[in-house]
Amino acid sequence: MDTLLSFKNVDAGYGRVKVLSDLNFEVYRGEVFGVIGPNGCGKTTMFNALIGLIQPTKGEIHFDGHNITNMSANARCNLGLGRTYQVPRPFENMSVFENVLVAAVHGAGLSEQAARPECQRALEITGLYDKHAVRSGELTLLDRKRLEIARALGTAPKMLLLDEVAAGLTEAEVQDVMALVANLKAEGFTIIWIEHVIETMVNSTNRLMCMSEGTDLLIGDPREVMASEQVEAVYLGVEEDE
Amino acid sequence: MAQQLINGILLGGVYALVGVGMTMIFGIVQLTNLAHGEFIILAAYLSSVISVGLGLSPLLTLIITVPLMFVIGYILQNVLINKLMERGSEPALLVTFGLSIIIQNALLLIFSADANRLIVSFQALSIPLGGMGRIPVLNLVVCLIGIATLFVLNLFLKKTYIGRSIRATSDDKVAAALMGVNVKQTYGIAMGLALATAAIAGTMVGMIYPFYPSTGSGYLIIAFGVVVIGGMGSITGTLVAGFIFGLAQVLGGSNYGLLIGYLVLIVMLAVRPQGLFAK
Repeated sequence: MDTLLSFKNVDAGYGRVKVLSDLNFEVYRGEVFGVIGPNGCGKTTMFNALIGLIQPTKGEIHFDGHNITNMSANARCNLGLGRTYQVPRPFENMSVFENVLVAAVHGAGLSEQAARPECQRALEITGLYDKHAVRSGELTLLDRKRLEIARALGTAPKMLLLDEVAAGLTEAEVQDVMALVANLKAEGFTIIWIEHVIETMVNSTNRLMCMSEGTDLLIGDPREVMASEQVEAVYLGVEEDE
Repeated sequence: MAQQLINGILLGGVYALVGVGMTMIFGIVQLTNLAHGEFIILAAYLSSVISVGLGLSPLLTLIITVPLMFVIGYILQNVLINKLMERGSEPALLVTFGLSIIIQNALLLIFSADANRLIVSFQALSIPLGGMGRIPVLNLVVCLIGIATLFVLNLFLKKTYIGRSIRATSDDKVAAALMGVNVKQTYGIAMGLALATAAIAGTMVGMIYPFYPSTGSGYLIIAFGVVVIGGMGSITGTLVAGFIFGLAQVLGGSNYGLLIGYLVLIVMLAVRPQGLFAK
């Protein structure tokens, strides 16, 4: 297997609060790698460490042949890491197109001229092209989530990080998002996908990691992971005490 | 009365120019630059030295002072302020206060406390308007340069990729960094642009008013007024606020000018504290 990303014995947290503790995993090129785990187990913190918003206190992170453990967030973006936020944060005073343009010019290092067709493509893939001239502050939640993905695509990523893109959406909208992710996979992007909606995880990922207390509890086939007693114990942990 | 209206409107263009650098740094870097007035006066002295030394019109000295002040701003932000801002906003705020004192005293040492003025050939010309008063040519030129500067700056922010990265950073610096924007460098460019506008402002106020090493604080206060009325970070707001502030001040006459200006400011803070054109 061709490894694109690896976490090796990573510890990280905020100030004195250690959230990640000896986290180890690898993501292979071209796969959809799902991440689940109870609230507070460190899923989003793992993304923050991966993207460079926090620095690991121990261990190493390697991406596409580079040791990125101590790189700045914008340098990592330039290497090909594109992230979406659980709560979308578009540049609200700019148009949808301009949002993606900033990503394409700075993240992918393109001239504005060269970036424009790429932006158009990113907006087409995510189904937002009709709204390219709308001020992004006026978008609905689903469209904001689409814009998050379009901006991430604009940076010409090798790997996409999706942080609960299905959260807060209606049943029908979740289906739209799942179709979009399937589309992205078909386009050849490697994806790490954090989600609470278990059904999406089982049906849409190649491998699944269950995190618990900041570390990798179990990694493997999605159905096997979901069926494991260890994972069940983590989710229903309350009952262990009885 | 008509003459005062004319004067007030013409003054507005200058006030907008004085405030625009301040509002940019507020809106983009989220820093209160207490040295903004001193940078304006520093630019006026630079203009004076170059003008006398090379025998140039003060207006032509802008060719040198604008890029020079841009570089000073860029270096200042990258070498000093960016590093301080990692520790929160207070250290950076205090350092801009320190810079204002340093610049003021350095100017005092070099140029003494005597009044200085930038002289242009059309100093005393004016256009008569029948019985309505006269338009002083100098003030008209200065006002038009002020408006043009804001117009160009606005266009730059809207249409260029550097402008877009500045606006993106101003909206959400973390998201901007994740899109590959180098936030610290963007702050550097923003500070460079702010000081470039201060360079133009310095030459303009130096042509219409006498200046001393200590005049900077007066312009800082005007800049604050313009920023509060216009709304932080809005260039259109800055322009409108400049005119409101200029008119209010001129209508108050030489005795009550500043008082009326600040009454407008207080009313503004009470009624619409986010400013006329806040984001």
